[in-house]
Amino acid sequence: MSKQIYIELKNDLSEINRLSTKLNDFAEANNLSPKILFALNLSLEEVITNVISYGFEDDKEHQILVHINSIEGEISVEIEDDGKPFNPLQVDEPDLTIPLEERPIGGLGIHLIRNYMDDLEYKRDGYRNILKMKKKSNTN
Amino acid sequence: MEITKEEINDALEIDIKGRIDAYWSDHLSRTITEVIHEGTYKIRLNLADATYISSDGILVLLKYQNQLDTLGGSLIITNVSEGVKKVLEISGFQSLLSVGETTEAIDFDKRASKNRIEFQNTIFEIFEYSKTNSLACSVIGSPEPLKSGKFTKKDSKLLTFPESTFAIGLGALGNNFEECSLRFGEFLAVAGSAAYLPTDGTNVPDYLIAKGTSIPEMNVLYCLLCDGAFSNMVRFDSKTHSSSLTLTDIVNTCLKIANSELAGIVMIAESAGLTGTYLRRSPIIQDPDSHPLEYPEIRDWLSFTYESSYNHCSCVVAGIAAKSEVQDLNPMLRSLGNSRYPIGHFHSTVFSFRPLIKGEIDLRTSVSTLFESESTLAVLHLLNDDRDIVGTGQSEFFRGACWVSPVSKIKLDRG
Repeated sequence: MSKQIYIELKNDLSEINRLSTKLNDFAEANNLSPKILFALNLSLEEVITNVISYGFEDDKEHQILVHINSIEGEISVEIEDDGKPFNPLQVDEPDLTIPLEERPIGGLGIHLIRNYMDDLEYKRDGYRNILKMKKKSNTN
Repeated sequence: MEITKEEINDALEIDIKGRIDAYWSDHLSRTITEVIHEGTYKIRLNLADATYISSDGILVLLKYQNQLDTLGGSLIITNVSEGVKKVLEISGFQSLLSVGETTEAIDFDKRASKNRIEFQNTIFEIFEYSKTNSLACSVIGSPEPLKSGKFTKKDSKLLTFPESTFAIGLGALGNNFEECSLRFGEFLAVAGSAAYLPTDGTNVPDYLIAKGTSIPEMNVLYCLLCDGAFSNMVRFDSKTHSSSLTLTDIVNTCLKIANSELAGIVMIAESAGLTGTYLRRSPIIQDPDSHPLEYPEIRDWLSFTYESSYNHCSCVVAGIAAKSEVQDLNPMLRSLGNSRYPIGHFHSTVFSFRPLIKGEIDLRTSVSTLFESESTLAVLHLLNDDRDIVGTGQSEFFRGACWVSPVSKIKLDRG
């Protein structure tokens, strides 16, 4: 049974539905716990909606490539897009001590990813953003 | 995502099944916007079957919790799953879950109005204040000089409109007759607020709201003035999205509820198209041969709404209506629809839309909130357009609140 999947997504928010179905299949194939699946769903969605919403300056269709692999108790996720350069790891952590109504909205997505994933790595390769995320799957 | 809604008194429970993600949160957002538009300010969001939430979903919850808080309502979030709860905690938004923890019981067990009637596609909810309450109606001045446009200084009176009154007629805001003479137009005064449409060409309604001990004053050429207390409040709402009620339907129901031949009615409602007219010139003129209400001069004197205007606006409507002829009120009462009766005379101030909270509401607060928060678009005398084929019929409304009371006394003050 395939332990890895490749998904090609268009820059359209409705693709989040398809992504979620693919992730369910992947979790089933790799016998992942619901918590791991939740973490994958959330982290991938936050990255991809951000790319779809802010990554492209034209109205053209773009491909976002997702590669997910499960090796030796670790899930690795790679997300590649041809949008403008953006390193999510440089986004400031939101200050959770500021009252809700005064808190700036941005940065919530990356804050969630940092909490749900174990390791993050970004590189700009030519005209592509590549974000790698890792999650240990043998713990709860 | 699957969304189901259930009404509980004047509150609404929304059940969410599935994912509140970047794609579906937009769907949830539209649903809540619609519900608020229809006047529900108390919402309980049951997330028992919501398996997932992302930052976009959180922002929707945050947005509507703030909005409903501003409107004096609440968005209570219940039964969150462990997964969703953890996302909220990590985000630092666990306070989203604490809204309403103490008030929930009050919000959702509040007494329902016992009296509901259904008519065609509409539900009427009746709240009784007191069966013995009634209104005294004064006819001050006469509309007769309008036919020749010959109102003069002696027709003008300075009247005050305290909270217990409502009035409609021709008037203007100003210190004296001279200041007002080129501005007289349709006016409406309700529960301490008053608005009129100046006829000096500006075409923008002018208004006053009672503040502290000040009471609106207006120079009036003639008016119908009702003073007293309402016997009932009535809420009406269509069961389907698109259906609306005619002014006649509403008036007939109000007359029935007031249990009277003649009733005073004030209404705050969302319009589904208004038909009416307003003066373009102040009816104080010098030309003895002028006949403003005759063709073709009427065109220079009166503006009529084209098609039906002002769809989805908030309106404050006031006037009186009768099941049959009332001699003392002739000729002020006219057929409201295509049938001879009911007859009535209604003015409306039109505002940009503001949702009206469901359930029993206070007239003075609701009216002054509209004047303070929304722009006044027009003041109209509502009239039925009964021309064959091209006629647009009468004004219609989607939903609203009416205050009604029998008129027990008519005073004539022809001055």
